[in-house]
Amino acid sequence: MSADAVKAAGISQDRISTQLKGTSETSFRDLVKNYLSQVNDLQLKASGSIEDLALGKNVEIHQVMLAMEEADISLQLLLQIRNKLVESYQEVMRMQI
Amino acid sequence: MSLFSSFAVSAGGMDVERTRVEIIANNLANAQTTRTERGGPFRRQLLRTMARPAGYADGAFLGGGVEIKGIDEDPSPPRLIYDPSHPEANARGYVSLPNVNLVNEMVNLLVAGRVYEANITAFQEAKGMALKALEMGR
Repeated sequence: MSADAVKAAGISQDRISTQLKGTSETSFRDLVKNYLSQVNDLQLKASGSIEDLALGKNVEIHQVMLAMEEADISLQLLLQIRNKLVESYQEVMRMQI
Repeated sequence: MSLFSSFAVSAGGMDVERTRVEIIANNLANAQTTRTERGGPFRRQLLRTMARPAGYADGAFLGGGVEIKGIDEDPSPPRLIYDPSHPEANARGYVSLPNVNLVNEMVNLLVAGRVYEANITAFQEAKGMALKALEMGR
C-alpha cells in the first residue's frame, strides 16, 4: 500500500504503524511464550512419570514412553520454529537499506 | 492436537492388553484352585472392553480408543474330576476344578501380546509421520 493510498483512505501513517507494532509485538511474544510453556509442561510431565516409574509406583512403562515421545516431538517442533525465527532474523539483518 | 490423540488411542490399547495379560496370568495361577473366598472353585475371569465413541469435530477425526468396562466370570460349569482322597471332594467323591482351559488361556495370552505389539507399531508409525513432517522445514 503506497503512502498516497493511505492518505486517501484518511488514516494517518502513525496510527497504522503503532497499531501494527502494538498488536504484532505482544501477540507474537505471547505466542512464543505459550509454546515454550506448553513444551515445558510436556517435559515436566515426562520427567514426572519417569520418576514415578523409578519409585516403583503403579505406572505402566508404555505410558512413560508415551510421555517421553510427546515431550520429544514437541521439543523438535519448537526447535524447528526457533530455527525458522533465527533464519528470518538473519535474513532481515542482511537486508541492504 | 490430533497427533497426540492418536498416541493416546494407541496407549489406551496397550493399557487394555496389559490388563488382559494380568487377568490371564491370574487365571493360569488359579488353574487348580478349588476354593475361593465365596466358596467353590475359582472361576475363569474375562475382560470386557468397550469402544469409546469416535466422531468428527472441527473437521478432524477423533478416535475414541478403547476402555475397560469390567471383569466378568466365565459362567461355564467347573470341571468335575473323580478323586475321593481330595480334601475338597464332595459326597460322591468328585472335586470341582476351575473352568480354566490352559490351551485357551495360552492362545489368548499370545493374542494379547500380538495386539500390544500392533499398538506399538501404530504408535511408531504416527511418531514417524510427525518426525517426517518436521523434516519438511529442513
